[in-house]
Amino acid sequence: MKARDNPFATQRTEKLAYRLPGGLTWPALLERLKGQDYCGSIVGRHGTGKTTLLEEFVPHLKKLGFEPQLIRLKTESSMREKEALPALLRRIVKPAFILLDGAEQLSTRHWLPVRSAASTAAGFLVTVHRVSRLPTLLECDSNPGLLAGLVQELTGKPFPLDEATELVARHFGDLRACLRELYDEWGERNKGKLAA
Amino acid sequence: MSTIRLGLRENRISFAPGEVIAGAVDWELQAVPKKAEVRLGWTTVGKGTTDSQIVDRVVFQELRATDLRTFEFTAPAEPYSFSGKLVSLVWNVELVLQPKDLRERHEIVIAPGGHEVLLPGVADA
Repeated sequence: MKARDNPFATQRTEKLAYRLPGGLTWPALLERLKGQDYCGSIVGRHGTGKTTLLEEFVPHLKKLGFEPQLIRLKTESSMREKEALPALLRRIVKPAFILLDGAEQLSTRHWLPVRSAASTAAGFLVTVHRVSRLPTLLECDSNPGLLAGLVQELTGKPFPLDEATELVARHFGDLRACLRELYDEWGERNKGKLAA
Repeated sequence: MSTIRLGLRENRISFAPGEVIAGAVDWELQAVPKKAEVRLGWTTVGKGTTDSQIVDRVVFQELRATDLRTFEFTAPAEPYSFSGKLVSLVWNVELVLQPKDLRERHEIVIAPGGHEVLLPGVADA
């Protein structure tokens, strides 16, 4: 199968919208954030949608009059980048709103000056793996039903729940890893179609 | 209600390098757009991270809320459109109107003979 025809191509999986849990709505989530004085954390393991959710805050915050600025820290971010972060954040002032992805990459030594530097912004929302640092706004989680729903959205076909259960368990709840495995599996199932 | 359209001359979707990619765009908006351009570019699609590049653009001047414009590009010599199991390179022509970021995109093929290059898997090679 051609990569461009694979429904699990990154370009398509990255367009999947975050599915707010348990009937939660965007107005309710934004109200919750306001109640936390626009300061909080999105908590969850790898591949549970933290970054997707953080990115989806951008248009909502713009509508509220903020100027969201997305900053990403990755596993490969250097010590120099982490040490330069407080100086960068100090330049971000109201109505700018800091969205920091990957705050778990910061040690406590790095986190404290970052937290202090972010106080000049209109808001501060971070993603982390475990409850810590800022009050929890939302805990992201994954489950087989969620994976089955995402696969159905990508392929247009129902995905058996037992397969989803097995896949989610094998990847310890990391939905991104599940979708990557399905990319290969889908390619194998449709192997003959590359030359077609 | 906004309408934007993009059409390629003779509805062609495949081109050899050096050939002319010509077409027309039209739009009907409530207000005059601040910027309107047609871009020729490519993007990768597949398992890994996405890469993309805009290689040429036609920027329109003296815009109106309802407008019809033509454009023309020369199909670049490379990279070719190709597809394997892990990655495809897909060329596209896209109309972009600002400030509302309205877009209309058509995928095309740019490769020798106008045929996408198909990469066989390692085991099949």
